[in-house]
Amino acid sequence: MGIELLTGVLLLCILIFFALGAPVGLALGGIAMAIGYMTWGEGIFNVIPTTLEETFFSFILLAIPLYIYMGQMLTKSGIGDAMFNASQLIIGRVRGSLAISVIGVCSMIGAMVGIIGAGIMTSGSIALRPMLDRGYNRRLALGVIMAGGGLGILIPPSIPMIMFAAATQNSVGRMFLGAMVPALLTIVLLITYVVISCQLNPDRAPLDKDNTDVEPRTPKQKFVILRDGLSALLLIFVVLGSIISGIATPTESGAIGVVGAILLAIMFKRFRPAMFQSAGFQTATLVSVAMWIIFGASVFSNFHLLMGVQSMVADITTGLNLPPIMIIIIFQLIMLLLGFIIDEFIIVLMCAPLFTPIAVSLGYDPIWFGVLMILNILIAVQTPPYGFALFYLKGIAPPDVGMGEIYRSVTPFITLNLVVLILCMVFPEIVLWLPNKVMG
Amino acid sequence: MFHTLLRGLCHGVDFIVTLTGKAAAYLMPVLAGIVAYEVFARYVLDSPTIWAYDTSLFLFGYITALGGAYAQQKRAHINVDILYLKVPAKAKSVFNLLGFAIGIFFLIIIVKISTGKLFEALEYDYRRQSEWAPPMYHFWVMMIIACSLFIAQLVRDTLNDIYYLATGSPLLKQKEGTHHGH
Repeated sequence: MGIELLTGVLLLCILIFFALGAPVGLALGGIAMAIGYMTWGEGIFNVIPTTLEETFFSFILLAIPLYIYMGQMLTKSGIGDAMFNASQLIIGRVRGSLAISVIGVCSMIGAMVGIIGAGIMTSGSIALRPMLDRGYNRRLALGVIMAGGGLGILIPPSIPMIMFAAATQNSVGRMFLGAMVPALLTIVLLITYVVISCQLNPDRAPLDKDNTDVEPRTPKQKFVILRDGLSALLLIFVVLGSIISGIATPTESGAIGVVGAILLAIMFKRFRPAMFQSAGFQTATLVSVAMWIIFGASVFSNFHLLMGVQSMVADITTGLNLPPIMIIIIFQLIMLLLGFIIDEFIIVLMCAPLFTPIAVSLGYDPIWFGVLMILNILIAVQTPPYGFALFYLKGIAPPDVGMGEIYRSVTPFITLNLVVLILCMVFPEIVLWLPNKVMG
Repeated sequence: MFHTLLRGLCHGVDFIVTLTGKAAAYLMPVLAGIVAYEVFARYVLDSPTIWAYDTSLFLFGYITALGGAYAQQKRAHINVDILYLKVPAKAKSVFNLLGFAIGIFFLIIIVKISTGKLFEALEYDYRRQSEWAPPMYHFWVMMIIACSLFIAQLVRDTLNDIYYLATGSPLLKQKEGTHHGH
């Protein structure tokens, strides 16, 4: 079987089994091995032990459980409330301040959780109720939660970035640095939008002083709120700083983060030994799910690479005779379409090993391409009708919110994400300046 | 009689998978502790350990591989549910049978391959390529157990769906059995 036909058959099988609702990791591995056995024979099974060893003995991927554990501990530690309160204390007088705090705080929390779904769920559970209680426009409230929670994969430490780095043998630290400026740019744009939109439609975001439930605070209370908020911020800087300064590997900084989260929880007087257990449980399940997908998808992509898909894609791209940037745009479109149906992990795992070498051979920087991929996924997963992040948002929204309202609430924020993606594509320096400056 | 036997089998699988899944989850704080200790040992005690690196990787493998079956029991594995959520219950069961079948096939191959690797590792005394060089064989033993449990869980779920398709009523009461979808 030629590689073109083989690829067609593989894609068809994926389509069928995904539509059947099969667990994606097992389905990818099973399809690859079944088709491989039919076309190649038993020898193809040797892909399995090598893939097993490279996924389960990857010190880079080991960062995933540690970051998720840190995120779980932090969400239970009350850090979200601490940052939220501190942020409200500082900017509470600005119209739309709650929405702005949501973007800031939830992006931090989302960053620590590192997965879109968990980011949106966590952000939503902390911030949705306060906004609705204070009479915020529902669309604005839902939109900022999606925007803030979704930012989680763009702000380091982010799980898909770790996967990208592992799948393409790039530096995780460089990847994190590369995403930093685009992430800041996105946050600034989102906040600007909220501020302008609230100025134009003041009834979308009533001011705090219009509400009677906000009690005045004593200086001591203020001090405690600020202290808690700042120490939460400090932990994030310590985790990121230890990676960038080279003191710890990204994996080790995850472990430092776990210890920090425990210290914070003790400081916030939220620490219970039972937290260890419940956070450990959730982490173990999430990581098992992630690792079985990574393993299955790696078996699939190792098999597909072995069969020569790389040269097929390279032939097609050179055969098209398009300018390099058009190829990049085509890749972006493919990933955008994939994001309508599958989640961020699988897009990275399937597209990164396939597209990145081609982008590099066209003369582009792999880190730039990786950051574009992350930005792209961020948009894809929240694009109607099937972006799966929309369903997470639906899950936390009040019961009477329909899908149509969800679509309308995320539209302005997706547009802003798209602007950032295009800016980064046109001006690669936005991505590359910081990593080149810091790491040379 | 047959009904009781089936129910007994399902409960047996559920019990063992839950036990293993929870046991693996208890290793999570240990894993974080070991990696954190290594940083502490390197910078504060100025004497890096030789065992932390391999131990943490082994723990990582144990937690995630053994957790696979438990995640299936909790229906936590990610699937594309655009169509799945829209079809009637019987069609869901048919979908499950096909989806689980491809999973079971993949896992059986892993068991087969891991068994081969286990004998190889025992025969040639394979070790991790590191200073500490711990033996590898137990990793393959664990892989065989993890995949067998995963298969058992999928077979149990398959039986459930077949029973439902054949009789029109669920094998286990809703509270006992894991529910479809998420």
